[in-house]
Amino acid sequence: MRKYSVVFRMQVKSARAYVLNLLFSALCVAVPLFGVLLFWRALFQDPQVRIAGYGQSDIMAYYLITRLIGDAVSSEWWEIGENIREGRLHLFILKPLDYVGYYFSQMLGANLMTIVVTSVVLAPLTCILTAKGYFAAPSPSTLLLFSIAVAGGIALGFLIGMAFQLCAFWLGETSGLNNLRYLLTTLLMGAYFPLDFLGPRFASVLTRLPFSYQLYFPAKLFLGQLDRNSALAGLAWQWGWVAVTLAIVRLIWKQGIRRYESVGG
Amino acid sequence: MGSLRLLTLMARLSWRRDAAFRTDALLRFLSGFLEFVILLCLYGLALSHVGKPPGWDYPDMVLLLAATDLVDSVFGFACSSLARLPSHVLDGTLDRLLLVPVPTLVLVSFNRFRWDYVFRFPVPILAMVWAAVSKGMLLSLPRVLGYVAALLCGFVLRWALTATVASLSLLLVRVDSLFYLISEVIGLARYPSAVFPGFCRMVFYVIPILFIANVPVSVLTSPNPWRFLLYALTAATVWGVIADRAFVLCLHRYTGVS
Repeated sequence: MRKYSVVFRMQVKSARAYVLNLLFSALCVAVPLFGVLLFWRALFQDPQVRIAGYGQSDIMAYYLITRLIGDAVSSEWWEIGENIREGRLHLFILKPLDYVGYYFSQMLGANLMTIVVTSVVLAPLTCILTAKGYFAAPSPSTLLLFSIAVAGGIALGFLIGMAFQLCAFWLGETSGLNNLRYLLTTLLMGAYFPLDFLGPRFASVLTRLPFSYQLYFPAKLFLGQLDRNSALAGLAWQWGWVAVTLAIVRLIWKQGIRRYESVGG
Repeated sequence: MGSLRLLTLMARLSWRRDAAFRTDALLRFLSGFLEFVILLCLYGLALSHVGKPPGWDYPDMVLLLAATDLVDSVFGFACSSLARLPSHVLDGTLDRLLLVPVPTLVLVSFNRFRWDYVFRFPVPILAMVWAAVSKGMLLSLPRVLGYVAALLCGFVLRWALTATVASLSLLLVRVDSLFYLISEVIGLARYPSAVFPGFCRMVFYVIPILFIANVPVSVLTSPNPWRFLLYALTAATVWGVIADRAFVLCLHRYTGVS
């Protein structure tokens, strides 16, 4: 466990070494949020109008919270596939280190800094919107459940991404597959729009898929749109999916490593 | 002449690579196509249920998305290698590129062509034709040529903004976040100018985001398109020069990190 905490700390140090880079990464969250909020503000000329139950304030709050945690739950580690394709994987498998664990620690280190900096940038905006009544300030118990849900979302996002990256054992080049996967997961996790927009029938199916537990579920939890029972049931589903995707990743790794060849030095 | 030969060679090598990994290229095409369709549906859904930005109905929004996608496709086809400039600086491989006897900015901008983007062109073109028919527009040849010229200006502006930021990696070494930031800022081009408050609109004409897709749409729909085309040409020229000068300036201060 110690070696993974070292990887985690190294990633945090690496992120802190380039402070300017870190600040820009926070702005990367703020800029698209700015665009999407202005767009929806322009559309909602009449504040009474609602779409799938979402009024102007609901939609603003939804996009705010999904942008806040969006990068953390869908971080991409393209070098996982590149290591396999370019034969660099032997650098890892010769060490007493679990490949999945190594990248998970790296991802946690990177995400910690992203979440801290993004929170600093977006916290004032969240306070303003809360004060203006866009959404209610969450209770401590909701915050606790939300934190667990975000942790589950981060784990799910990482494991789903890992499963697809490991397809490089069979496909070689996986950038197309991962582009497509990224697009579909972005849609299915509710980052483009709340899943409720697709109507109750579609939404009821999509909200049971693992992708919705990356983003849509934590966002609904934070916004107070779920009662306690639904929240706890959602957490059970979410962590169930974490276990399933972890098993799938382990299976793919086990099968893939048998096919792996690294030629040359 | 050397640059042209090199570009032709790069285009040929890229074609071979994309042909070798054709499943991957097909999946990349599919994801680009799906993203375009998702945005069309989202805009359709939002505009039919909620409201419209002042002066923009759904066909106008389709025109805007089509223009954004066309500029994105040309940029993705020709300039996907530009994103690698910061990593060339970080791992020291830029030093090797500086020894190649062609302008380095040309080399780093156009050394990888993504052919799957070419196959994306028909989709936004079809969307544009649908929107034009829906609006009952009469498309004369000069207007279409003006639109194409405005789109090319949009491409030059997109390249210039990205190249200017990428050049900063020669000074700051690690600018990957700044690079993503400029991509996100450029992403604002897909919103109609009407959604931005007055001051922001002014800023986005200076940082020429609104010239990338909004101005080509105005060239197509406005009663006086040539004025918009002139603005686009001026902005593209100015920013093209800025990108070139910025790269030369940063290169003079580059000390190599390998």
